Amino acid sequence: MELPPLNIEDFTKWKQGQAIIKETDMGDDIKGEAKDFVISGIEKASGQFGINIEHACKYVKDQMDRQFGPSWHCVMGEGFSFEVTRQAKTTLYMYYAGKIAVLLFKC
Amino acid sequence: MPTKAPLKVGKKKVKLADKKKRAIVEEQESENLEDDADLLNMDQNNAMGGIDQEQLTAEEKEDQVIKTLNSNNPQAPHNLTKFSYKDRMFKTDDMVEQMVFHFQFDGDIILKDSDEAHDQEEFWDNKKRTNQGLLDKINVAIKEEFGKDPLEGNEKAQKKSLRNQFNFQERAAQTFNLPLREKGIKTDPPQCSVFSLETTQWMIFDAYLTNWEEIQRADFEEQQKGKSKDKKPVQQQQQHAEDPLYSTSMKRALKIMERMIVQNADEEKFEDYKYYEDTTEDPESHNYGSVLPLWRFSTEKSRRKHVTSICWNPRYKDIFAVGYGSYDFLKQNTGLICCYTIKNPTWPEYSYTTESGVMCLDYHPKYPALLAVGCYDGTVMVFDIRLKGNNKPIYQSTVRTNKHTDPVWQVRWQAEDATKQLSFYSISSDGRVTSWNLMKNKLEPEEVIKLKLVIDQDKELVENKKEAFLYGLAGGMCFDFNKFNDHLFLVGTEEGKIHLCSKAYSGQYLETYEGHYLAVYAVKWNHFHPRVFISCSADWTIKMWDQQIKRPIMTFDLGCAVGDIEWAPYSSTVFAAVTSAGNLYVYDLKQEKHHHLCEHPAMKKAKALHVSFNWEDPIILVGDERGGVNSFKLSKSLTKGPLQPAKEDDKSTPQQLEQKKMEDFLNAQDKEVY
Repeated sequence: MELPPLNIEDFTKWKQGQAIIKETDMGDDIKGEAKDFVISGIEKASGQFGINIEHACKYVKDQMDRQFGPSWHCVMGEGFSFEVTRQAKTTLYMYYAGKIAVLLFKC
Repeated sequence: MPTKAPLKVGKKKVKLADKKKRAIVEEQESENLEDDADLLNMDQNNAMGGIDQEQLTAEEKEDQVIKTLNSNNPQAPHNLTKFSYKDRMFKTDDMVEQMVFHFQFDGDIILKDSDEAHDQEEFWDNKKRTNQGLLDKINVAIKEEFGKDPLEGNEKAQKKSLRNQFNFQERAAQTFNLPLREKGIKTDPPQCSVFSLETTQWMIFDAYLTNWEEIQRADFEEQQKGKSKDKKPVQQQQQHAEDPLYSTSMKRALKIMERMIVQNADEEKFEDYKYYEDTTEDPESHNYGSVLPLWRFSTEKSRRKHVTSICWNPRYKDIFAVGYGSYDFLKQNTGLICCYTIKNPTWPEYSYTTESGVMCLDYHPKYPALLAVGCYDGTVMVFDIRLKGNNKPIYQSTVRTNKHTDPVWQVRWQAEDATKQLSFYSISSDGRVTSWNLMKNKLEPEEVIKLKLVIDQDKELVENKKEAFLYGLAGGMCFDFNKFNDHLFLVGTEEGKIHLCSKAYSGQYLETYEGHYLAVYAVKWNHFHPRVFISCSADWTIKMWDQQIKRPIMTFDLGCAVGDIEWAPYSSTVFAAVTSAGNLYVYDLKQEKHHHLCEHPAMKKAKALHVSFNWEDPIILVGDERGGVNSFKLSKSLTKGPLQPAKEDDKSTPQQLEQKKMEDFLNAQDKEVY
């Protein structure tokens, strides 16, 4: 089955507010909440001059610490690589707005 | 109260004693052993401390750490915690007795006159008195009943009977104590694992694209469902796993690689091709007009064949097709078509072999993949170079479709007409000009004109008129369409006459130009002027004509047969010619009226047969009879044009300017002489 050709304008518009969970082992309840925190964190921290990653991370970490106990870690950025030791069922690795990767885990 | 101080002193003393001992041992050993050094080292090592001891610098060792001595007992517990039933909680008392008793003993010795002694005395008296009273009561009761007491006088027994079950009850009581049990509990921390990934913008983009495609696919399937339920499900095409070594992508990569290697190996020529300029040109001393040889395009297969035609691709300025055949009547061979590109001069991009020698070819101006070909045996074919790995033409004329009976000397595509039908013209020695239409799966021939022999009026009177037709038809050698009047075309013939014909009138010539004495090899309309054309012939001459004048207006004698001529696409007065002596001549009528600007040997010891200008770059190709195509770069003076309007307000186009230049040249000629 042939798909219509990629409409790049539609695509860029669509990906603005879109979050893609790339890898996670969280339960469904906690996952949804974590995703919401990440999205709202980024939205809150984005201003005229782009996104203040530091604020966004702080917001997400604080919210997660308050909600699900301490020692959450949150990493955001446009390009990085990592190797972390994470507690089981607490990892969320997602992309947001077409350019930001978010790593959230507890340990 | 013992303190730390005496203890420390004690230890030091022990250490000192040790050291003394060791010193003695060392002294003894050093007498016996020769390797004192080792021992010394050992001693040093010891002085440095153990392996896991922190290494301190001398200064740090000198540093004073202040410690104080206090009266607290270090062995005593730090605090005492007791459960208070009153408060129902544990109470911690931080104040702890710091006193240490080495031996404690509570004895039961008391002094005679002490309070305790008095108390004791009183207690015993009381006890004696109450016991005696009780015993008396009991004895009275016994005497009343039995008359006499059997235990009278036995004090021990009496005392024993005092404690009977009526005045001394014995009871047992226990608190409930849970049995002791031993349990083990092990708690595991939540499982941890290592998680590692990396993020790049590409990976993010890819993830989004896959997601987007999934959404699109879902939408698409939804639509399809709503539209047509009765349609059969699309059959899944079995995808064969391609061997990566033979995949198309590998092929493409290899092709690019090959081109890069060739370009690196031949870098100088590529530089020349693009940027070479002849700096020695000087119009004052008439030292101008030179060509720089670049590559020679040829293959093993084409070595014994003649280059019979060259055609640049109309869309891609680096691709050209070369037809190979034979002009030798006695040595006919198979034909070959090679498409070369300047990007890789070492090897043709495509090649086709034909049964009969290829005599002419032409690219379609609008569809650059279509290649019309005419063969020595009169066959015309159409190739599509997009069909790879297919050596066969997509169209071929046969006897059934009325193919030519003699060699086809020239083919030329027609501009698309209103019916969107593709068609091309061909001319052959059998005297027919035919238009071929590309139908769905065959070639449809249409006769345009028959080249009747034209007999001079005077001769006609002398000889029988009918005799003229005994000769049959005149052999056509070449033709060319006028660029400005679509229906006009010129035909060069074997007997030397050039005819002007129209597509509309198939039976007659509009005009006949006599001037050549031998076969006309090529006739070309000027690109800018609608009336001017040139022709070249086996009779060693190039002639220039005006459509309205029957005789040539210019003649150039080159001393040997002229194989081919072509007008430059950029200027109205520049043309190039090649001769059987193997020379390339370039003329610019603006700069030199009667003499060529440039003469250059195209190939040693070989006839040069064909010439072709590139339509964009100042490159010219010359094909010779040894199957090679030489490319030359034209110098600046040879490539003047097209003219640009000098002033801003001058509205005339380059086309008009070029036409005017030609017009000026024509007006300067004395037409009566010719």
